[in-house]
Amino acid sequence: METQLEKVLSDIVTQPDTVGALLANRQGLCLGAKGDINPNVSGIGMAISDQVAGLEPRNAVAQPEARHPTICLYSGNRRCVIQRNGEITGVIYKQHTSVPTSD
Amino acid sequence: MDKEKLIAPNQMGYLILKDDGNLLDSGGDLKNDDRSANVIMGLLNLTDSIDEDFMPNSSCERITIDYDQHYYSICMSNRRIYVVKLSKTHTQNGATTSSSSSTSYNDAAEGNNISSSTVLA
Amino acid sequence: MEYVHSVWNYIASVCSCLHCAEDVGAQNIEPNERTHLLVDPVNHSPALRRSNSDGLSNDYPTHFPKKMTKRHYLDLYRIQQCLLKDVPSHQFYITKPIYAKDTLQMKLFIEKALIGVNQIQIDHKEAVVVPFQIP
Repeated sequence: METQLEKVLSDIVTQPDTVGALLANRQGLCLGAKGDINPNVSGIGMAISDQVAGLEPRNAVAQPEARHPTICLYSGNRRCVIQRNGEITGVIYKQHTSVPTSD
Repeated sequence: MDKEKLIAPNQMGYLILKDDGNLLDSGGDLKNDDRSANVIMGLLNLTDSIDEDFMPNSSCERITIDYDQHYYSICMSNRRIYVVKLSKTHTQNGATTSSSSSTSYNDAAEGNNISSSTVLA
Repeated sequence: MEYVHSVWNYIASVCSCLHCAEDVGAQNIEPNERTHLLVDPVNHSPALRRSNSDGLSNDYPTHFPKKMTKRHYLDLYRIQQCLLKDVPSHQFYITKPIYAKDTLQMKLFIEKALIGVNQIQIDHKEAVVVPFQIP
């Protein structure tokens, strides 16, 4: 039933530098989590994407395809990437094990 | 009229806030933009860490909010919060690839059943 | 001798348990100096409820006495928490864009996840609403 979702999550955590990932629904409940990530993060992840959605609400009306900003929080060699798309919010934890590529 | 501060060469606008949220300076697209300032302060004060196990409390050096054509960079220095809106078209590295890939966004979401193994191929 | 000692310990522990039980009972009946702590609204700090995300920022004032305005509350709250850390030079961080591969990875992740979420279906094998059996 939810194999597709599990497959997507398992896939994402095998990618380079990716530590964990989860999906939250509109209520901030965790739809699935894989890797080293606390499922409770779904609530705050959703709240952050919700808050950021208020930054450019006009942009959302003018360009519907451009309405989902990607939010990234950086701390040392770790970063947390958050994005919302309508009903769901994705959270990915990343950690540099190699030399950073940009800069 | 005070002169606009140049924080980054590709800036479109900026806000400088005190750590209590009071607007100290602003310019460009974000000139006197109290609404955006409130949204940003709301974001910063929502929590002190998304997950203490992953990132210690109050340890974010910066936050990026990335749109197709521009992005916001947020950081705090000397108890001043800097919010800068930057253009992607002026940037030297990295940004052009991400904006070009976004054109096929809707097609991919609705049309093809993408096989999971091709991620970041 | 040791036996006597252990018996004595046992009796002492039973007595203290009884004493505790009495104490708990007494607390239920009449308020003492600790009772007010249980209903202290400050203890319902939103920091403790961070996973309850819906309307996080909207319900702050309800957890404070009426005379505190939202502004006062936010001033207090701000001292407690902020995502950011104070860095020596803002210029160093401000100009860095997001990693292009992060946005691409997230985009593909969300697109595939949406397909996955839409595939979730609930099979109703039994009646969800069961009629009352009125005689």
